[in-house]
Amino acid sequence: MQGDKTCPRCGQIIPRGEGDCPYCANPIPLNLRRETTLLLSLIFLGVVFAFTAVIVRAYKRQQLALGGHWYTRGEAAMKAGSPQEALVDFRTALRHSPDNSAYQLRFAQALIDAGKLDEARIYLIRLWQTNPADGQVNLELARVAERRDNVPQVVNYFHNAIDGVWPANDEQQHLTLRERLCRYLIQQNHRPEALAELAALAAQAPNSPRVLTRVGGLSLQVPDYAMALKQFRRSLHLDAKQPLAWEGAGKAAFAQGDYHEARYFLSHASQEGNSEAARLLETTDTILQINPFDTKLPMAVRRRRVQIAFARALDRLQECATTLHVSLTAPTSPSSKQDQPTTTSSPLEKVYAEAVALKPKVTERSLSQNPDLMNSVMNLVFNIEQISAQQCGPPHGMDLALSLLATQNGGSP
Amino acid sequence: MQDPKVASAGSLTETQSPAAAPETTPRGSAPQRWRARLSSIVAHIIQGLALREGNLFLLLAVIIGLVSGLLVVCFRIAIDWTHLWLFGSGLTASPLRTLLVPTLAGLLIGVLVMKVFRGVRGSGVNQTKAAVYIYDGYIPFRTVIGKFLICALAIGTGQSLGPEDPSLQFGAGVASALGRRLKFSREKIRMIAPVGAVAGLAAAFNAPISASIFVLEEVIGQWNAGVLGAIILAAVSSVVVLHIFLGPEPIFRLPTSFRLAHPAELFAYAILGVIGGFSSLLFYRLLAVLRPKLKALPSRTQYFQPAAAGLLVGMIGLAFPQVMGAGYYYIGVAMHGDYVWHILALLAIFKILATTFSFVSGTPGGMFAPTMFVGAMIGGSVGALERHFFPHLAGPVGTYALVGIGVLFAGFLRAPMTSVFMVLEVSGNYSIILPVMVANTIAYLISRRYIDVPLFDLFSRQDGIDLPSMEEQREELALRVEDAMQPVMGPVLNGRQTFADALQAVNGVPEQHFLVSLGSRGWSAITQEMLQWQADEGKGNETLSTLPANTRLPWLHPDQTLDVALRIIGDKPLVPVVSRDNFTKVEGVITLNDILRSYRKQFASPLHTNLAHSHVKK
Repeated sequence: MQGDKTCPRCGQIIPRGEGDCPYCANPIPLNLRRETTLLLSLIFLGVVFAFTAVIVRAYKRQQLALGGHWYTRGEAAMKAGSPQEALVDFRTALRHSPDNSAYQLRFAQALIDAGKLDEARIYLIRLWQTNPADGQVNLELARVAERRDNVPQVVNYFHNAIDGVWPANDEQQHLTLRERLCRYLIQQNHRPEALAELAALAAQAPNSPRVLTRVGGLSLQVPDYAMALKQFRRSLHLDAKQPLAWEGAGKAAFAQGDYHEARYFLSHASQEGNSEAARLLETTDTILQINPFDTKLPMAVRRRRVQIAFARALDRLQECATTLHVSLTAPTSPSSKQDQPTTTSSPLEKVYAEAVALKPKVTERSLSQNPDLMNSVMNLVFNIEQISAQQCGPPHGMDLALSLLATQNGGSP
Repeated sequence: MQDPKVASAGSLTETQSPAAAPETTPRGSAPQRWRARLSSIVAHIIQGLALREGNLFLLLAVIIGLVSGLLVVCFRIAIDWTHLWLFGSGLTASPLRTLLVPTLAGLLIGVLVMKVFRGVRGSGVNQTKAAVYIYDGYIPFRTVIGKFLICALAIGTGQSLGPEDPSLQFGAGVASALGRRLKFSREKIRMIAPVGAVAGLAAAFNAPISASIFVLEEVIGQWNAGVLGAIILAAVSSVVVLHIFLGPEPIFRLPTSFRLAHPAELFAYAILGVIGGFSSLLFYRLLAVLRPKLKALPSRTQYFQPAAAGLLVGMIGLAFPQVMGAGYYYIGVAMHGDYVWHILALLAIFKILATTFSFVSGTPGGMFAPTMFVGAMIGGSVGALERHFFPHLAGPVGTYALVGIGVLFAGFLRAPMTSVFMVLEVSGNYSIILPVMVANTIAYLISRRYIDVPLFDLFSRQDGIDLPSMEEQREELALRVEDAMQPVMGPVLNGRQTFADALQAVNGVPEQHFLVSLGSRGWSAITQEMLQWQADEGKGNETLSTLPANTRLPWLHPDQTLDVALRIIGDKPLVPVVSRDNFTKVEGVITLNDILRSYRKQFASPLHTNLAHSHVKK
């Protein structure tokens, strides 16, 4: 090994192990002062800095372009319905632009669409941990939870999404999300939660006829008819040219038993050619024509309506019995009635027996003498309609009207 | 304002500059006098601003840090561009490319290494150490250029190696070149190479603390206060450059939460330590056995060894493309728990094989990234298994993967302090300190139990260079004053005593030298003959405090090393060993003979014999 020695040419110490003087071997045998060397070093630093800046810029631009290229491919694959293929493309896009939130979300969506719910959840949770207030991430997590039928998580993430941060137009986003959540809860039959969300939605809804109509529609589905009617009224107040609002209001009023008001809304709706409204209007009209409980009517008219209803109920009973090939015979005497065990008689026969027993009393005279009899008669009518509906299928026309009246007056149909 | 004398003593220019000319009384006309005065003021200012070597060293550390950071940024981009150019931008390349690209690139690498850049073979850590301990801090700049080009090609084409070791050498090379150009003293040039190494490594890891500790732990081997400031400045400067250009993100994407789920989980981390320790052993043995075997083959085969390694790595890459290249992206994937345990375990095994092939073939590149990869996969595998069997006890898989990285650093690279700090620095989370310490310590102990020579020392010994082993240096038993000192045999004289009294006190005592306590003025020594001579000269009534200053003695403390004692004792007949809390209280004396006896005794001890044997075996 060589010892320490100085270069005979430049006087520098030659490092041990070096055959030649590294300083003289340099193509520029400079023997500069320290200040000059320092200055040159700083200039060199500036040049390298500028060079690196150019390189880095080009590199970042390239990475951005590559990310975009793979993202576009992924989008195309998604549109073509190939989420598996899209996954690889989005993953590659993310490798080039790892912080691009759009790519991250599309990747998560592709995972969900590809059915990789566990992976999607893990990935979204990771994004969520980075930014728990991100509305879109929470929404995607809600989607995953929805696919896994985890209602509490869906509600939780939807709430996070509603309260989260969105790139633009927060209010509109909040409204849409709450509407989606309401629909989901209605679909899942979670009525109390749906009602709560609906209340929040109604409070949040702006004075927009379309939005109010949609809120009314959701209220009808929950159902909260009072709320629905209120929203449809608000909507119609702002813009009367909305057949859906007229129809919705009609249905809400109808469901509430407010047939006069229902008639008003439904007639507007049917004028626009809405067949559903027309059908409902017909039923409403029938109800209004046969309703014996309308206190605004003179007593004589009400008694007459009771008699008509009773007669119609008997006819319905007969028709039903005929359909079922059951012969309805009136009991001949009270003793024979007692002999026949009640358990063996069918419901139709039982109500028929009651009707036969009551029939002699359903006269103008009896009803005027005993006004309470009207209720007994109508109760029997409702009972007959109920049993007939159970045995022979849904009612139509006047029978339907009677059934609806039964419902409104506490009956079970 | 700096003292001009001091400034001129250590100024940048050793030749006398006109500005430094001595001030003379101005004579002549008033304008001439004013001009002369102005010149004098300017000269003073220039002298004041002139950089002393110490300050220049710190300034240079910043410049080195900035240049190293820029080089590392360019290097990372060069690797990516090479990969993009040769493999395309997709996640995986076609099978044909996967096989052909590393093989053909290996051929080119073989030619470049054998014909153009011969110095690039081997570990950058060892080359930097060699620069410090053998070549006076000299690292040829040609090696830096060669490392940059060949490593970018090798890693970009899928050889299973990391960019940190080359980055470390870029920094060291730049530092060495600048230090030489600035004509630093030999000591400073020696020290500047590790400073550059820290800068390069810090930028490569994006972890300035770990890089500093690694270089202090593995290259310099001591906490040198003189160089610590420069190291920190260089590390910070390089990382700042990295952040400016590539952002502050860690080298791999980390999960957001690391935690210990349950204290019982420490048991799982202990198991991770054991598995990591034995995996390190396997990795080490493969390298230790295959590297010298391949080096011993005829030199013409070395042209083809990188190509053969490339082919083997490519074949592994067909099934596990994750093992190709540095693999940072996949470390991130593992940390996020995206792989199942058996895939993680297979990745660890195949990465060990691929890295062994690449490294032993002489392809230049670092071992850090593969170590991290293997550690992350082993850690992730243990974590995933624990989650499978004990879901209520297991924390996130990412925590295990991160701790696994530290485990391999401790077990394989044998850098225990770096292993702990690296995990903490990368994660930015101190709540996992317990698992990290438990697992790393176990892996380190296993490694020490079964591996005599640490990895980097092994490489240097295989290359025929006897570099100092930092681990051995740390563990060498230091002899102390208390091991050699003797009790004070004769009376301790007092400075207030007269020569006559002192003569009477030492009368009949066989000792030759007697300590004299001078109170707050320290210690002195006197012989019986000297006392007698003073009495004979008629100075018997004078006190011992009148002894001349050249008889004063330095003193030592029992805990000081014998190296210090040797430097202090000089030609003194004896030196008092005094208490640290009261230097007038003597605890013993020490002589040169005592020191030498202690050294002889230590050399004859069985422990030292073992150490000496191991050194001879090198």
